[in-house]
Amino acid sequence: MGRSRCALLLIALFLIPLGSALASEPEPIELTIWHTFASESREEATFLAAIADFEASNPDIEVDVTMVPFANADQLFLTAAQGGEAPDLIRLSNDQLGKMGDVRVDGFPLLEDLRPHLTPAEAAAYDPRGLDAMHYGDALYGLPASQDCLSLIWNRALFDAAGEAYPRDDWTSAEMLQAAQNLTHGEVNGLALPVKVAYWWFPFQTGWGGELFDAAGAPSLDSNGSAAAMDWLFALEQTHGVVATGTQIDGMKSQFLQSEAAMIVDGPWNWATYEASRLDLSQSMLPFGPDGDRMSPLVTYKGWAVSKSATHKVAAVNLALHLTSEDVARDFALETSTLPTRVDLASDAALLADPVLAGFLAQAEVATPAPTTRGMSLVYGPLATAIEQVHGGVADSTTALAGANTELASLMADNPPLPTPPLTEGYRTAMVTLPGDASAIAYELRMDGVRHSTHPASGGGGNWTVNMTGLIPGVEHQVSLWATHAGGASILIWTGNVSTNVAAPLPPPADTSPILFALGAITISMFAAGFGLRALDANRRRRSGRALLHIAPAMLALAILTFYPVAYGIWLAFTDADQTHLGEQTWVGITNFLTVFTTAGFLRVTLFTLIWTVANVSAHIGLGLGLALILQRPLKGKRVYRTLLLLPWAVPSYISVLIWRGMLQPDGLVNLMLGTEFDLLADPTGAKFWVILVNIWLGVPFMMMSLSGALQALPGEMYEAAEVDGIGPWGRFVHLTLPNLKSALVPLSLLGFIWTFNMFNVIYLLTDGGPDLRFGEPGETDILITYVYDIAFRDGAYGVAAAWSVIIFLMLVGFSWYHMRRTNALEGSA
Amino acid sequence: MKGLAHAWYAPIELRALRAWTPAIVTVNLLLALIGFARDDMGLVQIHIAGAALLAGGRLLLGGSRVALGFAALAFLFAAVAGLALIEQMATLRIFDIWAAAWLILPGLFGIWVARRPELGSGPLSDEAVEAGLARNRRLKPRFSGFSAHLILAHAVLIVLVPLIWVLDTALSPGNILGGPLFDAITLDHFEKILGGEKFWVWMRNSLIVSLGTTLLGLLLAVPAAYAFSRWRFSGRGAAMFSFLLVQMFPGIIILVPYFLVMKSLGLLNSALGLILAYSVTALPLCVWMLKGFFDTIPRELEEAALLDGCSHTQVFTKVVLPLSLPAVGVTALFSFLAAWNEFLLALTFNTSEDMYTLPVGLASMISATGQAWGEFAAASILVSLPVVVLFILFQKSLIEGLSSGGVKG
Repeated sequence: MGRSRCALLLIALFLIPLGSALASEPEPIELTIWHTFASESREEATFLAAIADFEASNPDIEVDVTMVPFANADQLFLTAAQGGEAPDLIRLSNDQLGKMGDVRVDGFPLLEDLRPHLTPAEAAAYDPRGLDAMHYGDALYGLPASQDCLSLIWNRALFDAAGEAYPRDDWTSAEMLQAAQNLTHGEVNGLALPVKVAYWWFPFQTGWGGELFDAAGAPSLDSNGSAAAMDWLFALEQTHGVVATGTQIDGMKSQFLQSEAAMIVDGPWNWATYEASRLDLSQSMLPFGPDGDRMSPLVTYKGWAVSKSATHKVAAVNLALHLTSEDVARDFALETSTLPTRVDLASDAALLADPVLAGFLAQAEVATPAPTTRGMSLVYGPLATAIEQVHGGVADSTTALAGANTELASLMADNPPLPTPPLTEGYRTAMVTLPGDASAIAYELRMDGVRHSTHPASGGGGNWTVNMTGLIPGVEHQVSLWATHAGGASILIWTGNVSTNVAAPLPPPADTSPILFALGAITISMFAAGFGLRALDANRRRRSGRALLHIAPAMLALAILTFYPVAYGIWLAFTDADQTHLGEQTWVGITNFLTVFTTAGFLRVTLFTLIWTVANVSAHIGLGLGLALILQRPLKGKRVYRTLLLLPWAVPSYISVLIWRGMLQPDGLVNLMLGTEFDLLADPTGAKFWVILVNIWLGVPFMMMSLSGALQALPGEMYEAAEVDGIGPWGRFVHLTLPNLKSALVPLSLLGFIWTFNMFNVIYLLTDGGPDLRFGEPGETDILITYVYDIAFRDGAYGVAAAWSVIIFLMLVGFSWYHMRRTNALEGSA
Repeated sequence: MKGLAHAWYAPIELRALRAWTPAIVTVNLLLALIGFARDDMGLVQIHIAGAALLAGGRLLLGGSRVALGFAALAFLFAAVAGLALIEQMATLRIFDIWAAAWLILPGLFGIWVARRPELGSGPLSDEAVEAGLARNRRLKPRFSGFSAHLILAHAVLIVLVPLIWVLDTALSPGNILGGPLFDAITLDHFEKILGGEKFWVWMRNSLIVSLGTTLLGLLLAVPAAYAFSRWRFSGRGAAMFSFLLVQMFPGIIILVPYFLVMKSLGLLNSALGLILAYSVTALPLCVWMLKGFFDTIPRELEEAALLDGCSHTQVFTKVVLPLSLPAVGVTALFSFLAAWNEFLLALTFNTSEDMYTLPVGLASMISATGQAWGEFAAASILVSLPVVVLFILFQKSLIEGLSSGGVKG
């Protein structure tokens, strides 16, 4: 390659980012917002209308809306924040806040602490429990927009048909069980709920007098009645048979929709779906437990959070206030049965006139807010293990829950909460000294004519000070102080101007110059290596120059895009990278590798990874080759067969895996065909069998296609000659087909091995590594890659996860090296 | 020679039965296992007994006339057991009928084989062997065709069952997963998705990205593979190995640095960014597959063309490329589908909804409270349709076209 062309390429490379930097110069304020409402849903439409309202009343602001899938929202936000591309606002649940609360990037939290942004009057408009749930530590990381909790929904027609009395709000669990037993006959089950999902166990735990955390925040999974509640819940399915065997969330919904379940423990979010199927629906409160404790489901809140890196924080907070305002919350409630979290809507006539909303709000009233803590976000793992142990009969409920409690306590000890980041003094706040009034019983502060806060009078009438929040930097606010007297009269006693000029502290923008430098260095060293090799070969009369020119484009693309990330990943393995101090990791040597090797279950998960890989690759190649050979013959309808057999490849794998998960449920198609009702993925051996089978289903078409292509190259004359010589079909296969297919089989088996070893989707979506039968260990169907994912994104231990990755990498390098040596893959047969 | 032909000759029906019996017995034992899982001991007994009868009958075939009679009897009983199975079934599920068929059909076929005159004791005349061999030759395509169809039909069934379920979910009213097949049919879900603007935006993005990836992937891979196949040079092994290396590091761990690389190159939220990323993902397979294929093309062909006065470029485009079309086709299809089905990178590198591809768009139909299964299923069918069209076109022009053409070495 000519030197000038080289230089041009390099210049072009550096110009690409420059061009895009020049292009982005925003004039009006532009806010980006990520929401998680399902595409084309009623929720999304209501949300978009609210955004349109906001833009209409704030013409200087443009809102750029993006939908992100709910399941990936927090992870995406974390990635984008590390790359300096975080949106200004994002919709999060308080579960997710609990996960993100201790994340620090370059020392900054991900989200803006909203305490100085709100005036006390604005904060007081929210249900205090909802506002509390949006706090992590002392910081307020979001404004609550909606709340959700489980309740009892029932099908009136099925009650009438059985002549059973309707559920009452003051029911006891025994009465509910009795009714469920009376309603269960034939196809109909009395009750539908997924007994193995922790979220459904929580109300029962409280009904039996237990609680998740004690007053000090320490886990109390083994508290009074917790074990009894779990036994009672499982007995619904295993002893009384009022819940269909192995009911899961999707199964529960379809049972209820098809009038195969009289009662369902479900939330308001599915009400619209049930109503659309013209079911005669009613709702009641969850019953009382045996000792008169009201079952109290967990309330989770969803709200709007502002990114720490948002540049227009005032506008962003205003948008969050608008999205959680009375009008918008009322629209959401009436349009989508979303439960509001505003004080003023608790007594709203329009909402209370709706029996469903009123009923669910009453249920939420007696429900327990999910604590927004690291502990709460960690509770699901150990609890899922305990549930699997009890349900599978491995341990009794007391032992299992005690084990879960110990595990949770140790997880919490390993992840101590960080101190709340300090507020910037004076940002959106100002200390104001105000005169007193000896005869006032209270003071009211108004800012620009709007009520800001009220304060009790201390008596005496001396000067007092208040830290005013909610000021807009650089704006003179007119503040007035009104004294309320015993008779109820308000008197203006002071007016003045208050302002602050303190700007918001912003995290440093993601600096890409080191990466550009690294990419430049990679590019230059690739060229240097190329020229070096050419010089080396010049003496040996090899056509090195021409060859390198052919390889250069592919090599460069590969090097520029992937060398840096891989090198970074390897470096990370030797640091203490952790979600509590991202961007500030320090070198710790091989500590992480020691952690990996001492992980309980390391050998077990490695062994299963090998079984998984070998079983899959041999089945893919064996079946693929078999089908390709059959399709090689002259056969009627060959093209139709081939097209049909390729179909699993045409469907995106995560869709087909979700379909398979549905099929493997107790009421799914596989059981329907076999005439059984097994929970196929609950049994450790069965789950291993099925994850492998599903992956075989997914992978055979690709191998079949590739090998079909390769078979085309086999010379037909050879076969004719062999047949004339009397060599049988098997002999022809072994001596002719296989050797000639080697050029295709070698790379296919090698790449198949690498891909399957690192195949994440299938296991993650089908079983998520479960069933988890051991505390703090990989699940029964975890392979290395899915366990690494858990470590990185559930525990936030990126350094340890990177060390696992390096080990995976080394295993694969070793295998490939061996494979290539054995098969002479590098040498051609030509 | 005569003795050999006599010893070697067996009617084709018998050969087919011999070849298939192990498979049939295995299937019946599997069905017995399913019976065990169902806790239906009758089913277990019938299938095990049937399997034993079929195996025994096969062993007796070709013996003396007395043994032949026993063989026919064994097959008869196997068939009867299959019939008993059907009778025993309370509900006539398709699966159960299929299970019974695995006893009845081999049983009936066995009886039919046992009545072949050649199977008796005593030597056959030369004419009979001659005629029998001729008959075998005549019937062979039909028998092997039937075997092929049987295997393919089962493979297609396994492939189709989940997909039929998807179709049923997409066509059922409401958003239910499961339920009786095709009891009520509606096109609501399809209408809703096709009526939304977003679907077409996602489709357009996906098409741009996938076609771009196919093109760029081939442009990068074909020359590299050719060089790896044809020339020896220093660093060749290392370069080939480095293509594999990057696939070995778990991708999810390095998502953040990858994001930063794309950001610093200004490639976030752009089709070009995804095209580049996917091309690089597809490169290892494309390069290695093509290299393997190029290896099988004889060098003499190229040398001859060079002697005829072709330039190197002409040799490549006129000789090598046409010969390797199947491999180029497979790699093109692979690149296309790698881009078409990819989810994680498309989600991460696009922070704006306008650039979403179909898989990401589909995921956005899953709300916090679970899938709207009907719409989800309808959308996944719509996503797969273009690929099916592609498969059909691809086969027609590449695989079928080539096998009838005369370009093979």
